[in-house]
Amino acid sequence: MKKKFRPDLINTGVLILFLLVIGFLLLSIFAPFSRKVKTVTANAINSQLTSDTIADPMQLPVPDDTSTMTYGEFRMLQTKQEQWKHNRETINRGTFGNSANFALLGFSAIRECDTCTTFSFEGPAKYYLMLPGYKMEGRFNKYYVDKGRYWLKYVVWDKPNEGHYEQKELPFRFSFSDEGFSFYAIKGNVLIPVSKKTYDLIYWPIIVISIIILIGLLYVYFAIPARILLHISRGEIFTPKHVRQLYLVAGCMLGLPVLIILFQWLLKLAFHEYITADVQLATISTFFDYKYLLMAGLVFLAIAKAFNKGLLLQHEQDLTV
Amino acid sequence: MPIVVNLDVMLGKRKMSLTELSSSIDITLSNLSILKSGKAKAIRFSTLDEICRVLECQPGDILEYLNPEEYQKLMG
Repeated sequence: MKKKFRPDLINTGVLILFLLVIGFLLLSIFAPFSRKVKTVTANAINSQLTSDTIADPMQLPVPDDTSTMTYGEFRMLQTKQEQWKHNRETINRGTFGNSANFALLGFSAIRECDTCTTFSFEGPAKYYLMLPGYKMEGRFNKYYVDKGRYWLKYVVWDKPNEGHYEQKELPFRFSFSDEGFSFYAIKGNVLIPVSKKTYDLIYWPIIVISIIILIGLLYVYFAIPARILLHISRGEIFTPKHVRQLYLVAGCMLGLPVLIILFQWLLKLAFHEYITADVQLATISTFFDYKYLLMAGLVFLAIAKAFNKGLLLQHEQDLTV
Repeated sequence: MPIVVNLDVMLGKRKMSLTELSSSIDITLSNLSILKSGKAKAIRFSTLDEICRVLECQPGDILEYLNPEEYQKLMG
């Protein structure tokens, strides 16, 4: 029996989706202004900070009176300031140091320098186990590094709409990624300090595993589809091998984000002693990082199903006398 | 599917081999073998027409419907 097409259900679904989108937009516009935070009470905030956040207090001195500067000079100063800030953030993130990681975990050696603004510096390296896919809890919370220790400024709400900052030390370093805001969170990596011995022991295996995974993914995502295209151009179209391979590609594309999220949860469980409640796994955000892969996976799944049907038709055609 | 192809019976009656039939009509020997062995999923009217013309028979002489029990018994 044929299923009846119900346009009223479709319309209701579209309406609900529309209302949800409008609600989300309104929330994102008005929610940030609903609460205020008073000035910071902690003293250490005004000291020399090494912050991964955008609000880096260390900037080039800007003259009080910029009115005498030409636009070109002012623009150059701005560019230099941005470059300086970018360099510092890069240093803090550990991008400048040695880092081996893939989507699940990694190891990083960071050379800290509270005053450095260029990449050419010598400093003691610190070694970390890197767990990606985390976000800082609380919209107003600020993380920073001060003299090799990791701190969190968090808000204590005195009234429903007013609060003040307090600070506490964290047992891990947090490194923000470049991706910016996503689902109310700046995603980043939790960096758990490890000894140099552990770092040296696991650094190369991580690199080898990363390369193997990369080669595997390249083979599944590019080599297999390329081979299928080659076979199709030769006239071999609907074969059981193609159907199997297309299902494999679709499965890997759809399964990879799920696998990564699952593994991140397992790692969080494994390192629960180090990871405090101030950071949470940004599961939805991580899932949406793979949106194009998921879309491609769905397309490959549709193609695989079409090839499966084509194979059946081909088989029937072959046995038609 | 309890439809059996009695092509071998008709070929026996007409004292003709599958190769001779294949050369008489425009169908390959492998396709005729598929039809004879009962592996075929479908048969074209044009094929049936050619076979019936050469073997001087009716389509019912080549195709036969058996009830499922009989078919099961025949196929073992």
